[in-house]
Amino acid sequence: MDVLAPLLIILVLGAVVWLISAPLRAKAAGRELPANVRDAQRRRDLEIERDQKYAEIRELEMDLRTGKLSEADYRETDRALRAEAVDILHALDELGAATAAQREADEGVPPVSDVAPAADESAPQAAVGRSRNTPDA
Amino acid sequence: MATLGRALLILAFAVTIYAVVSALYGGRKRKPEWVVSSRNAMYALFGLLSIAFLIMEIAFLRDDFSFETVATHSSTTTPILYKFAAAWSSQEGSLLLWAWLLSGFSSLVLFLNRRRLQEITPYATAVLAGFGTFFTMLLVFSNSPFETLSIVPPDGTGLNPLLRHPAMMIHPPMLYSGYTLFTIPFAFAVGALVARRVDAEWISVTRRFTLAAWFFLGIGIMLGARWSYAELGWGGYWAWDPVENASLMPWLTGTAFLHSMMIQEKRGMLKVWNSSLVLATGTLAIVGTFLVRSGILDSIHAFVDAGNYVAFAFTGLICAMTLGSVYLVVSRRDILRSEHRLDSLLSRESMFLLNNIVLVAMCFVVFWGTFFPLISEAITGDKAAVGPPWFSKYIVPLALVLILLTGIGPVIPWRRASWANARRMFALPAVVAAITFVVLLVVSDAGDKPWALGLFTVAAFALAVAAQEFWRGTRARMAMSNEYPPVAFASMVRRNRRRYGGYIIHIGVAVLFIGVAASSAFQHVEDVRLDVGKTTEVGGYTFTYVKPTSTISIRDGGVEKINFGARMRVSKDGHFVANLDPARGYYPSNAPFAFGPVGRFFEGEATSEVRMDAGWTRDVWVSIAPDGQWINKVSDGLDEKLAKAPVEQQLRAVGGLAAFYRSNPPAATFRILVSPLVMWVWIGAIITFLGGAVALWPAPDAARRRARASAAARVAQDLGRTKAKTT
Amino acid sequence: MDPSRKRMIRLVVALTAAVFLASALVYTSFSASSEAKTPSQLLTSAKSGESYELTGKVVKGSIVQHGSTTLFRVRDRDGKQSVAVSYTGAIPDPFREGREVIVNVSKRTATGDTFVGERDSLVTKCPSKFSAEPQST
Repeated sequence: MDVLAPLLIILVLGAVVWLISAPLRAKAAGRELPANVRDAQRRRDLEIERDQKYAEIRELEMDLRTGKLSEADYRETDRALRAEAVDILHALDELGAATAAQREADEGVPPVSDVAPAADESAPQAAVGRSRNTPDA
Repeated sequence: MATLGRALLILAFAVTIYAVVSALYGGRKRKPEWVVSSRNAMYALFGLLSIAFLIMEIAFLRDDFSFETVATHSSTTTPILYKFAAAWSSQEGSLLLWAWLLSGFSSLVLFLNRRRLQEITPYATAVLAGFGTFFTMLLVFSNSPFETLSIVPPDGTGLNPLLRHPAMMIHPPMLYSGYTLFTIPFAFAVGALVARRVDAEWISVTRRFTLAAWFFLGIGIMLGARWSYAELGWGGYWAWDPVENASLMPWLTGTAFLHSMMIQEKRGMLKVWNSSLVLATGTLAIVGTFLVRSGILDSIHAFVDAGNYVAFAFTGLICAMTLGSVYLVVSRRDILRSEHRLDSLLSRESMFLLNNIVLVAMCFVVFWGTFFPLISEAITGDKAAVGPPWFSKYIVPLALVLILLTGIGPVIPWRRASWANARRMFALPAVVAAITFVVLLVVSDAGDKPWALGLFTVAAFALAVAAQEFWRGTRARMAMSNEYPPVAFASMVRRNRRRYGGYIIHIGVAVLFIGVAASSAFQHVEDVRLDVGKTTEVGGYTFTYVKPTSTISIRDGGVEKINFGARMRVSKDGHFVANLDPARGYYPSNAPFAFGPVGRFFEGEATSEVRMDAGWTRDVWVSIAPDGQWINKVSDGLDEKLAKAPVEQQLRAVGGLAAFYRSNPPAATFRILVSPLVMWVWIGAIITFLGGAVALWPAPDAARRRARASAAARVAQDLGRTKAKTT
Repeated sequence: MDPSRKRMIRLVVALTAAVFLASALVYTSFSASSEAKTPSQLLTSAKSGESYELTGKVVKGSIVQHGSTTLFRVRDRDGKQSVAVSYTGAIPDPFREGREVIVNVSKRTATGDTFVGERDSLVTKCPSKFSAEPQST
């Protein structure tokens, strides 16, 4: 027991140091962490938002079917929610295009076209403007 | 092995410090490899503490009395399961359990979200590791489970017999799971505020942990209440004791947060509320952990004296958490502004807001009453305490409003409801409530207790709303999918576990409050001294002391305890109801030379063996306190005669005492309770936690994808192109 | 009335209600509370008719049972002064001499050092660290 304990302690210490230093050693050896980490995170955040919005749309329909909402109220809120969902999908699309462009830039390929052209934004932007500014009263 | 354990704890302490530093460095300097390293450090922490915990448990199971904690909390005669639980019956063991649970849940949440929230995670990791540093610091420098004794005793002092009950075994792990799980949303909230990314994402990733925390803490609270009712000799389940309150407070704010987070997810509102609630809940969880082990408040649970290292350390931590939380919320108030405004008072948003207010008010009442001795001492110089009647005065009306809200909230839609719609939806439940009110008034004496009557009425309303929700939902589902009612019901619940799990929880809470109201307001209790053969009447039941009982429990060749009790025959209107055999068990003191051979049995611990006839409509509950003076007189007499006698004669004398009790019994004091509807408190709790389990259960991926697809299709139409989404 | 004015009114009403309720709570807590006192404090400053929360240790050899009433003495934690308590109600399981107790008492109108314990208010502190041994001192 007396000899075993220090041996085990050294073993455990070694395992801990190995585990903790693994990412630092990987970085030093040039093994990059996944590229576009920031974009991947933004994409996932948007995906969560999008799924939540879909869930809201479904629940609203359930509310209508169980009689909590009148048809008029339902239509108005449903429209607003769908507009918000469209915004999120647009943001995801932009992110997708941007990510692709970034990847091509990294690989030395000139981009095919500029991403997120302002012209395409105007229609959904107007919808955004409308849905966000609709007085709810 | 103890040296290995000590080394592991020191290593764990070092690892937590590293984790804090590397997480903060990696977060500030945007160096992901350091953040990953800090996450690995948390995994390492879990590994180290697991091994340490294992070493401690093995010591207990092997009766290794060289470990001081084993020698003082276990014995060779302790049953195996209780040996296992004895590990956390001590201060040091419970701290290790807390730290181990913290490291486990932290590792889990960090692992599950390793590719997400990369701006928030470094700070969340630092906070969680910071808690780890605190607890390992206590374990290394103040309360080590690996202290050894230079002289190994042949046997330990054993586990307090009051704790030899299954509920008491799992009560601490349940509570600690609840407390540690609440630190997870706390840490991510701090991270979100520090990183200025207060969108709803940090809420969704920690939601399951918050719900699990609420779930386990609630179970821990109910186990304590059940144990109090079934094992202690006073017949109540809640005493507004400081330590009971300490576990209730984070549960109340946690409940508020669980509701309020839904508003932030759906409408981006109440961000200040949510941040404040989750920070308060985490802080109150630490306060709860602290109160049990400090002596700052006079309580049945005040285990350790104040003024020691642990008390100072906890006070410092709580102050830091409180001040830090206030600073974070105030300094980030600009980004915590709501995206939308409250549209109408008749909306689900405002019902949730009201729900927040009621729960926080309840928490404030409990807080004020619990800490009042310290507050009054600070203000007037005298320590003063408030009793249960003061708590009830405020909690009962608030509970009534709360149950009412559980009936209104689910029915009102988001944003705005129309009065016409509301009238339609509430018509049936309101009628049910009115009928309940009238029937109770006419048929029972509920009118004598207006608050109880009010609570019954409101609970009936809430139950009717829940039933209506399930009915309407099933009908809607059947209309959409042509399924049979039970299938439609099941698939409806499966598709929206959060909502319908929530409704089940509401049903459980309403039922629980019905039980609480009935058993508190309409209870009959008597303390009565009876001779053999005598009869008394309580609550419409007749109780007869039929005969005395006495038994000796032998274990491993020694006397474990002596039981003195009685047989009570219970009848009602001449009809036999039950035979109840309450008893008192006397465990011998382990200092045999300090007391006489017989007398030592009555100088150790005594437990009440409560007996009850539990029923759907009432519990009949009896406990007994045999005449202590008679016992002392007889045992003193025996001790004198046996002072020089051999051991076998001493054991026979104990048997003789037991026989003597049966043949010449003194009068005994009985506590008799007839409590209506107590069973429904436990049933309500079980329903609540079943609902929690439903809400916690993850939806299968296929169902999620199907659901997403249909909504996506409709949204796609707005985009002007078809989208076949399959992810 | 425009929405922001409505909101302001709501906020003011809510805050006023909160302040009112909080004051009621604070006020009643002071009037409904019982001061915590040790035996020596009780002996010097107890007023008859008022209820106090007595904390101290049960004096060895002082527990006497008369029917359903238990008489015992409570002394200062670190002292010799003690008061007599006459208590009706369930005796908690851990109750025994030498243990720390909390009991609500009021002074009998007659002179002397006997106090009447409020029913069911007797609480015995669990011995520290769950050990089966009663702690000394």
